Amino acid sequence: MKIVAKKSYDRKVLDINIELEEHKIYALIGANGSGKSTLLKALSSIIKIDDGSTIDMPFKNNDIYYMPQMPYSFDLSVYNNIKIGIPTNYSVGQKIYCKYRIDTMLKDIDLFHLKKANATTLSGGERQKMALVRSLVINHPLILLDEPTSAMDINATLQAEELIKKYKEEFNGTIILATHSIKQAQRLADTVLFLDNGEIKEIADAQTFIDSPQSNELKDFLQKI
Amino acid sequence: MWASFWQSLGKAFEIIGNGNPLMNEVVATTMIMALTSSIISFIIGAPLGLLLATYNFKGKKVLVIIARTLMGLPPVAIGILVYLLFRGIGPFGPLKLIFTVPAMIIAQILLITPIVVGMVQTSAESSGQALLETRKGIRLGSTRTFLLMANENKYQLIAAYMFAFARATAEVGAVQIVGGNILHKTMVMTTYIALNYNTGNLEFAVALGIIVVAITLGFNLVGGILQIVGSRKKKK
Repeated sequence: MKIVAKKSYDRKVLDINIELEEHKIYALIGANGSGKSTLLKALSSIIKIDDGSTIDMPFKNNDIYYMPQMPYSFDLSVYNNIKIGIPTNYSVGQKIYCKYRIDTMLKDIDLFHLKKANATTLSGGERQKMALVRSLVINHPLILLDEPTSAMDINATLQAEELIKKYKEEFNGTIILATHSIKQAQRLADTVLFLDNGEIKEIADAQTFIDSPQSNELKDFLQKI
Repeated sequence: MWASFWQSLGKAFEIIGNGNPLMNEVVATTMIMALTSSIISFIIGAPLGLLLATYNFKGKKVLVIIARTLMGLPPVAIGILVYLLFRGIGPFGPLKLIFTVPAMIIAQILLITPIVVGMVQTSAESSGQALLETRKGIRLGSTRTFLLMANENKYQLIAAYMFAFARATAEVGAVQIVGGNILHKTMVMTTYIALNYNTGNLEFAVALGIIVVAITLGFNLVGGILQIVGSRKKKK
């Protein structure tokens, strides 16, 4: 998929020109304000890109799932919050399978005991866990995760990463996640994209990033984290 | 000085205690008018308020400004407008609604609906914008989004209805003009209070005032209890 996108944000300009392969996990790393969230929102059509730019993807809008950094918790139980992500036109069989997947994932991420709790009473990390399960319960050809573990502790983060890996194994979709952690990128991503001031400065696998960063901006970023 | 005040209040309670057929009739007419107009206003206004809070579209700001302007319209102005429309020689004159309860209900709907729209829109705006990214990310359909928004703002909706009902019960200017305060027909509590005050029958006016406050208080208590029960359920 080819992305040529321009978008003004926070007095900066996101200027992207990249080609990505399907069925891979990509990690977007970069400092605050580097344009990670803006890029994900542009890809998911939540925000409009500027005139003249194009995003050429083999997915329909409905095939793309976006999990915001601060997902909204509806005034419903955790289970019903997750169920919202299941299309209403699913068959009974599909719905039963989804229910099984929800239960399994809730257990895997240590949230099963809160299945019936009201989601508005959850902590920030628990809300992210719930939103991640909602993202991964059905097959989306492209999933965009905006710092999905930013409010989780290390154990929960590792559990969440396992969930993402399992999902990838099962459905082989394309996942793009924004993260501040090069270690998370290393654990999860096939390819890492380093964003700085709205531009992609380097593309490589995480180990190459760590071993031999090319640009001064990346060296600077890696030193600070 | 206080003695006359307590005396009037005491007599008012005595009137309420003894009961009065005319008073019962006036209360019944008021309830029919207030319940009908507040329910219709809520049915029209609440979805409009939720839509304005949930979706961003061209012309939204203009609609919000119009709704807020209409919120501040004086009741007598609405009364005169409805009178001009429904009087014998008016465009809707043939319907023969002027000086009837339905005309009063129409005036109340025009008066209360913008208030419901404004109240619901203002209170639901924050959750509407907060869930914007999540609902777009999940690809929620319009109907599901709307139902979820209604659920998210259920207490604000209850509060908006309570206010609409209280406004309908307490309004006097518009209903006086289009209803005419006709005995056994369009006399409601507020117009009856004004009439009794003008004729020096203060105890009757005070008695009806107490009933108006009691009804509004009762409704708000029910609303308050619903909110408390809801928040307790959530904590469990």
